Amino acid sequence: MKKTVSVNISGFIFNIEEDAYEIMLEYLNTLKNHLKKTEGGDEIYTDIEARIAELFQERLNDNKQVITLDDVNEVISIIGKPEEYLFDEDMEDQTQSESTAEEVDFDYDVERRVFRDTDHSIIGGVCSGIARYFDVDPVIIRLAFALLFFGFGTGILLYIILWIIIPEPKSNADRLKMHGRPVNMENLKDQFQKVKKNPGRRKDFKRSTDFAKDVGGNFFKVFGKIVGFAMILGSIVAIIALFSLTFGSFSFYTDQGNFESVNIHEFTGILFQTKVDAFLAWAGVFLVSLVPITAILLTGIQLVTELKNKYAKVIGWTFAGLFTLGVIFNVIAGTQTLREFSNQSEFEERLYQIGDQDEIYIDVMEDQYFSSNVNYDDFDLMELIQLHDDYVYIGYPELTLQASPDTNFHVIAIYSSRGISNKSAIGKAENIIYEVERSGNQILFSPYFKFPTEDKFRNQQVEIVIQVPNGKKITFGPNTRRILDRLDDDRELDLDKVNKTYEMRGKNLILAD
Amino acid sequence: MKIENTKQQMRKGILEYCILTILSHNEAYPSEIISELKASKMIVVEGTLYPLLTRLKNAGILTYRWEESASGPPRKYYTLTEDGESFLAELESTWEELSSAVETTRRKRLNK
Repeated sequence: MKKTVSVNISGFIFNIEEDAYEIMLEYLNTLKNHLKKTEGGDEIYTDIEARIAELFQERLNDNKQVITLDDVNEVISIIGKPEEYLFDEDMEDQTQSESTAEEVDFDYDVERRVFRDTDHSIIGGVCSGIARYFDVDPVIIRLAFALLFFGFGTGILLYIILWIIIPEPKSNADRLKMHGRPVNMENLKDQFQKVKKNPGRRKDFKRSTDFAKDVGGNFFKVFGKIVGFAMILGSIVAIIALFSLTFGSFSFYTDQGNFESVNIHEFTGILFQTKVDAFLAWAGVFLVSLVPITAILLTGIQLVTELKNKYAKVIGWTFAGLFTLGVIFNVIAGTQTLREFSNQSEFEERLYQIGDQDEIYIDVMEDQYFSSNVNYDDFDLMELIQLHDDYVYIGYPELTLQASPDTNFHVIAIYSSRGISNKSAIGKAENIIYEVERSGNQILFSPYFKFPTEDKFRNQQVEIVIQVPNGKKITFGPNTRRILDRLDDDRELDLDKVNKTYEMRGKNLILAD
Repeated sequence: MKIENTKQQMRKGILEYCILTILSHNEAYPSEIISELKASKMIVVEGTLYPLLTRLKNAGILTYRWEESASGPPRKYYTLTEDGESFLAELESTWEELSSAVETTRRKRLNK
């Protein structure tokens, strides 16, 4: 009894004995190799294959249904070995054909490759394979690995990795490459005979090879499932977050520890000029985030279920399309909105001129939105932007102190805004409302300024400039830090000023005694 | 200079001439061409023929049509193209010239 292999040659099915199959396969591979660089090589190959099919067909009848080794040898001798009938001209190298004419063996494929030498292995053939590659005694490599085992323990890991990544020789051609011998018909026949004579040796080690495959395969399977599960969980959480962010209000803890529900669309509503821009921006962000998340989800599902995805290509293209669409949306909304910020204008309002006082006292008034809610020692920028009744409240007016050019105190407010044009910018700056109260030498500032929601957020700012004349004093009330150079980094200094009196000497404010 | 090389070159040129001659009378598929060439001991192994046919076809000298076969894959039936005809005519006159030249040369040597 002999094992047969079913092959398709030129569209015809042949049952071919295993040993005959090996020879035929190597023959065709050799031929393919020879023809690789020949012009019309594919066609020649197809023609020869067709002829082989024809010759096989002639050798089959009702009483003989299997191609044997003898048949294959006969057919090969009829057609001839590639090195016999391919003229030098048909080969790529057309130079002096001395070497080809001289040597019966073709040295066209002497590349040496590393394989696990499973025929001479102790565990997985890694060491003997490496030894084979470098042409050294396997004992040396094994000793080196043994030292690594005991020396650092990394040897085991290295061995397993090499076991997994170094292939085992699958064909006799591979075995020849492992030995660095040219893959030609003579050597292949030798090798085939050798393997045939020594089948027991291979069988013994079949077990260990399978073991390697199992360990590698199972490890990856289990690892893949864990990763896949994590991917599914992560992406589901991300999808829920994305949806609630986009379609609802989301909740977060404020510093005071109470839940506060904020609809993020309200905030973006004051950023985008038109509803179309806002929609494009949101749709863009939504698509750009959803696509990768969904891709991770699908990959996770595939890893866990190990199902082949028939529609991978369609889904891939759809995702690519949606992602691109999202990017385009964002670019449109982004450029539109950036244009809205392209021009800046500002104007000054001189609030007070105080000549009859030697000392002024400034502080920030209490209000219902900011002073009672915001912890000014540790605040979030988002807390300083609030929306109430068609007005945007911004909690960061800035205070700057300067030396006065004359003997009077001056209090000046500088309003600024950006806009699509200077005109729109100045219009928006004019719409800013800021409250200051004065009674005698006491000046109370509001902790916020506001502007109509329809103006949109265009980086409106209010800067209070207080000019102190030489030799006169200014006292900072306890709440001053609510507006003191809020956006500057060196708030330490500002906190120092609170509840203290300073005197202007020359151009500098000096702590008064 | 290898004798093998020269023999191969000579053989190849003449082989092409023979193939064209076979096809000048009627179309044929490779197996037919092979059996004729084998009979005249022009080729030993069949593989020799396929690269030649492909090259001649690619050079526009031969063309082929497919025909179903009862005993295997469809066959390519080769014929000469018009270019092929004139190419063959040229080869024929060259061959006449060459063989008479060779004959003359050899006869002179033999007569000496």
